Amino acid sequence: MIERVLLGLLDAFNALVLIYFVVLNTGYFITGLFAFRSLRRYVRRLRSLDIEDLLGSTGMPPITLIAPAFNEEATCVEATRSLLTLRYGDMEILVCNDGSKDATLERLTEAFDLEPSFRLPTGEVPTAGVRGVYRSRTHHVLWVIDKENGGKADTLNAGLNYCRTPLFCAMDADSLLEREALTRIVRPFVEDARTIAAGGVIRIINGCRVEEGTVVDVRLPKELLPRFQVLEYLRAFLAGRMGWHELDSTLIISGAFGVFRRDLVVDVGGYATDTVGEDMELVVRLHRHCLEKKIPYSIGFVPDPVAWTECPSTMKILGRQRDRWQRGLIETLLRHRRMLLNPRYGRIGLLAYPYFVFLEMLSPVVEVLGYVGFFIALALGRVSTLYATAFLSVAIGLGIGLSFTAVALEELGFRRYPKRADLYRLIWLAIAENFGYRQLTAMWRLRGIITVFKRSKGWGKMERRGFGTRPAGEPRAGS
Amino acid sequence: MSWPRLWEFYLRDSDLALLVLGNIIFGAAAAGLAVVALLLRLSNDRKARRWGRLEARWQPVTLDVVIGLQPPQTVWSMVGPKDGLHFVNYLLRFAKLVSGSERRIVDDLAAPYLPLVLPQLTYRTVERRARAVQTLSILGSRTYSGIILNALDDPSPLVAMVAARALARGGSPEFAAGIMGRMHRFDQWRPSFLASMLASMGPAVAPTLRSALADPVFHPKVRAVAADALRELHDYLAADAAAKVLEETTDRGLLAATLNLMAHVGRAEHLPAIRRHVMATEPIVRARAVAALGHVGAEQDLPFLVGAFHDESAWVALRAAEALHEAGAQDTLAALARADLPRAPLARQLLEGKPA
Repeated sequence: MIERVLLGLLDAFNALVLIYFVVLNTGYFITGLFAFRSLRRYVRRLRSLDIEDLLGSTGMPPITLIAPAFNEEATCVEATRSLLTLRYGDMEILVCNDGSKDATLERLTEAFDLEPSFRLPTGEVPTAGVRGVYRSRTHHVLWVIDKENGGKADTLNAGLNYCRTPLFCAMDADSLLEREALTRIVRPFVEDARTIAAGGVIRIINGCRVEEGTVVDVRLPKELLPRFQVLEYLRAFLAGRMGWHELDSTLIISGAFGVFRRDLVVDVGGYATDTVGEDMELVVRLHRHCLEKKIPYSIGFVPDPVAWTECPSTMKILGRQRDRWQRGLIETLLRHRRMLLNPRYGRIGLLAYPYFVFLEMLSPVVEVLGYVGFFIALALGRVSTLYATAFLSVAIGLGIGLSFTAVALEELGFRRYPKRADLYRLIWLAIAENFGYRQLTAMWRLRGIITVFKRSKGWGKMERRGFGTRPAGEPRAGS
Repeated sequence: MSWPRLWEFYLRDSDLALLVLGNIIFGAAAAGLAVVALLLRLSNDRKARRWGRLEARWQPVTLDVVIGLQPPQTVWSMVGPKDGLHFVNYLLRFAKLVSGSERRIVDDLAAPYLPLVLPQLTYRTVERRARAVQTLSILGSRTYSGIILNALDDPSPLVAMVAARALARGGSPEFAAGIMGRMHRFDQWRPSFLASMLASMGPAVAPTLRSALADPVFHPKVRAVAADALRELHDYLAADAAAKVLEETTDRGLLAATLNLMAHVGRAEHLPAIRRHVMATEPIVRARAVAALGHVGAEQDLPFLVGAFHDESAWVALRAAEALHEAGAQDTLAALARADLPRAPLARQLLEGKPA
């Protein structure tokens, strides 16, 4: 009797998993369709407004780049140099050293001839103590804020307090922005005064050739793990975020590259320091604030400004990163659970929030348990041809289709991987990632769900290799 | 198992047959997407190669024509019947590399092909209409100014904006009134950007802007844009109109923009109008008034500025410190620098000649 009940439950569970997978992938597919529409329109719009024309305009809003740095001695000088080469009229750069234990501050001091200075804080967001403010003698737009360790969100808040421009760009100190990235990402703020935040695209720098802080040759990474991540990023940004942008329901702006209206972020209290997902949490809080106060606003995503970043190339670090991302997602969604299915929050409460709660947050649980249930049923001989076909097609077939969508969107819009061999590899990766890599990421995300209650915070250790850069004209080692 | 027997096996179960069919359709769609990506790449590579070849042929001859070594007919004869629009796009990029008389030759080169662009002005896709206006304005502004002016009334604000920027770029003051009259269409755009666009038309546009600033019929946002543009133009004649605005308006944005204008063009007789805002409730208005006092003010305004240095808003304090420095009040700054105040280092820094 008990055995029959258990087997019945197993069958019911497997059927539910199947339905869940169908709904999940249909959701992805629909956002992909919206992304296609949005991207096509965006590419046309790019042709009608000349970026050079915008660069020449004195009406572009002043902007402050806030680059938090923690133990970034390997890349901080080059990344800062890259920021100094950005083509943007009126900008300041604040590199915020979050009590690094390595020689980050010393490297910056030496490279940019920093001198102690005073800068009146204009914001009052609470942060860990600021130990000193430095200004570059050689680059007058560059400032370094040295503070006690407090985590990334705390460091961004410190930068926010010293920011004097209407907009600020939050980024990672180890990311490389393309030279026109700021002009491109600021466009929504120019074209629609209601814009309070905009996110750009993050692309993976592993495998690319970098010269003097600029990516000059875009290639897929040589190692398999970073290659899978290239595809994931394409799917997340071009298919996912572009689609949500079209639905006017952007909930995530990557902490590695996003521009915000300073006054509004100060009004809502800056970045939350008690979550590891401070980037998403801020965006959700901004939505909530504006909707509750009935402030007309827009939060968008721009698909062509690019921040290049190094991705993890070992399973251990990648696992930690995904664990952290999942924790950030859950903490944010739980914190603002009041918005879930609440008509007061419009399409955010009724569409985006439920999607993220039921499909993004819970998917690792269902996916991992789904595989377990499938193999148990298989071992017990309870898997019919019907179920096996259906399970494999939704678990793997739909996944392949979605990745192909992302590759097609990349081809439609930007074609950043010029070598045809890289395109073939992306197509192959879209198939291969479903046999092992996807299951692994589901496991790591599940671990994030389990550890969310431990409330551990921090930057997450990322061993940087540096960008493998070389000055223009200088041969690479070994060439 | 042979194919017919396999098919029979599946057909025994209608659900399974449906599922298999669904999978086949989805699999085909997924494969289709991969094929689309490949085809897009092949097609784009082919186009790029073809256009690269065409442009490699056109470029040396275009250069010869531009410097007067060859007549325009030489390059026209190289443009195939189906390549007209591509030639226009090529010239659009080429035009950015030259100026003056050479630039006019590029316009002349494009002239026979620009009628090909005209049908695009009626396309339903907004971005295509905008692109057409952009093309005509860059390569045919002399011939098509009427069409560009009409585009200010296009149903799409994007097309209207492209037209406005094109007209502003032309620098002809006769279009200023037309643009000002349609500013309400651009209320979504950032005011500083609009001001910059208007100022790019040059000093000849100032009378129109002054009228707009002084005219309460215009929306305060439009008047604020006019004030910002006048500031960019350093239009000293706008000071009287600005003083009047400072006495009449209560709109925060307009006050801030007008005080900013006053900081650049105000004179001693405008001080009463500025002083009345030094104690305003809005920090941005106070900060701008303090900055204006720093530029225009007299010695009797120093106490105001010292008071502002202690203002609860850091923005006001910052402007006050700069204003004291600007006003040459070194002794006052030195006293503030010596005081036991959290903001004393700010005064010290300015005394050392470093920016605040």
